[in-house]
Amino acid sequence: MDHFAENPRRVLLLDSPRLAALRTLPAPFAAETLGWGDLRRAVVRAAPSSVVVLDPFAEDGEWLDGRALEVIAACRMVPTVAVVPFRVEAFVNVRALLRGGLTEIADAEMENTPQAIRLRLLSVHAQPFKRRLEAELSRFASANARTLLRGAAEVSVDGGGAMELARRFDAQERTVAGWCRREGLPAPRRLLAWTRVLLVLLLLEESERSMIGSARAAGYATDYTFRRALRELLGDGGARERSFAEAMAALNGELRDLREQARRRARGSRVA
Amino acid sequence: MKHRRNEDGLPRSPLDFAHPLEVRGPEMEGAAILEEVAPAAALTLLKTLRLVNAWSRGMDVVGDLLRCKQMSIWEEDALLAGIEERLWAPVAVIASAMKTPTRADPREIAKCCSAVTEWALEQGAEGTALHFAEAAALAWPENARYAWVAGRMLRNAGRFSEAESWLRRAARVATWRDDREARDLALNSLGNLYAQTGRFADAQRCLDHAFNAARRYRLRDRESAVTHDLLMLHAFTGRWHHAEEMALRAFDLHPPDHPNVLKLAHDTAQLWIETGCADLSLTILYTLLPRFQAPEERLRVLASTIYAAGFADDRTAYDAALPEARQIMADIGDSPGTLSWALLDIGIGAACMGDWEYAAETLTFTLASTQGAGIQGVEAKAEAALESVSRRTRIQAPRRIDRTRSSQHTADSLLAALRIAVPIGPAADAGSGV
Repeated sequence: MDHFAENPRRVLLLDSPRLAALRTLPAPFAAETLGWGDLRRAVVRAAPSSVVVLDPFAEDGEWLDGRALEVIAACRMVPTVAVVPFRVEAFVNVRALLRGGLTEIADAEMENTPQAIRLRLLSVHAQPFKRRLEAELSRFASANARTLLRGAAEVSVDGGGAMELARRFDAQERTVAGWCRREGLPAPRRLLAWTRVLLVLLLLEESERSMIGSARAAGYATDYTFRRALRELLGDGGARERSFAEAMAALNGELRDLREQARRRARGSRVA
Repeated sequence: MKHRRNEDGLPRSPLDFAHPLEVRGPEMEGAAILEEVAPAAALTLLKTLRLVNAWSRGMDVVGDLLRCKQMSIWEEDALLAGIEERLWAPVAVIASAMKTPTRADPREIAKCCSAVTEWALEQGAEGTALHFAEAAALAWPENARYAWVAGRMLRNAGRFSEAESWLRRAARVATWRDDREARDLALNSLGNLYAQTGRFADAQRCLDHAFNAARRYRLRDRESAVTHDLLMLHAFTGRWHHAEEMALRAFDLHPPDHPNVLKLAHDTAQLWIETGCADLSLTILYTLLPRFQAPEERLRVLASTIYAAGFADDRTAYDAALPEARQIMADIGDSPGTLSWALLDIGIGAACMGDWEYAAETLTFTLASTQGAGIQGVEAKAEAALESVSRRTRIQAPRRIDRTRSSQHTADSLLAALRIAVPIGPAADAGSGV
């Protein structure tokens, strides 16, 4: 069964005449049109698999950066896309929004149909999460390990499992398991357990959500299942006392051990 | 790995080909352009980059993004954007090609992207140049050389993870397409990347593959280049005798007027500093310096001279080399690869001379510029040297290595080969051999 047929990705679309053509989007997206106030409130509770699409210009051409930045700040784990004209007049404002945390910009003249913007919406999936992961990931992780981790981040945001991870790379599950082993990563299920836990910790840090809200947004049935997963990975200690940075340090430690094991296996096979 | 000659298609390797289009990195597409380039040109280039990358993903993915009417409007806008001709020309060709995307020629698109890369490098817009180097490789994925160029540029920029991705891809595609030279280049560059990031076993494996392939296919230029890099790897990992063997072989492979001979002579001199022959190294470095003109090359020789002078306790040589080295460092600014090694050598040389304050300043700066950059060896050496400086204890000169008859023969042959390439002064004839 197609995961997205049942669970399309939510697009929170600003109610603006310039974005009217985007109200009906192709799979895997489903758009909801909201005014600024409702948009901000919706973002606070939105799943990180959602995307926010903004038009930061008012009808009279006024630049609404204050409102746009409020929406961006409401939950930084939800990617935000501003549809803007690629014109010199807009340049400074666009750069200010990007520095304020906007995830992406879409070209108002090119990416202004549902089919045209689809690729852009796909490209921002899990971007904020990936950005935070990359910033804290050990520099000794190989290039392929990083690619696998990014894939795991994307799948976690969608609430997927090992099968979805394999599908993401157009490969068999055992092939992906072999890649993980070779690149010094945990097995796919454990890798995804890590990325889901890290996602919840980030949601707790960066938004106004409760523990149960964050856990559910990351696909856990209850906060209890999240806390159990956290304990399995990080040992005893309250969930509220664990930070994303601490969890990343623990993950980096595990990756270091796995890389060493992978090297020993490689040396052993060369000697043999 | 399966070897085959194939005019079309790519090997099935989902993981190696996932980055950067299929599984995106964390940054906004084309982010560097908005930071580095003036607004009018920046927006034109951003649009160009995004359309090329979208086109590279394939028409079945791109939807109706590349609509003829929009492409015509964009072509007109690009012509009217008022950007300089060197930039306008490749952008106009791309814009025109995108009007009929199913018929666009990947070679032409890749060439235009490379032209933008060159323009960006001249402007000092390194991030922009890298974006378009990658775009060229994505536009023509069957050409391993574009992937190799992207990988090398990323490595030189200190972006080692992305560089590894591209260089592995280049090696893979080159093998599939039976482009032997490109494969050798990719393996060589990958080996150097691994050496730079401390993965010495992987570096050895890649360079050995490159060496064997160069010999098998009689790629003489490649064989000499890889041999030189093997010299550096062995020297760095303390395998002195192997390093000398590689150096001797490299001299044999290079004709006397080959442009790399001087660099080889310098690297041999550096090797001999580590094996306790600082006096001989100084003589060689004195002879070499006038033959280097480019600032970064002169800096490398000067830094080695300061390093050797420190261990040889030669104040005159130290005082002669230091001012110019400092001037060049001030002029060229910082780049993770080049400057860190020079700083390290200068810092250690200064420490040996008892120039404690300058040594501390230089070594601290070395650490600051390499921390987090993943350049192995420099950090560890700089920390150890800084420790000695803080305690005001002299850094011990490397002692002369013990030699077997065989290794002495190699070393003597190497000195003879070097003298043919670079006429060294009388001090070297006066018995200060290896």
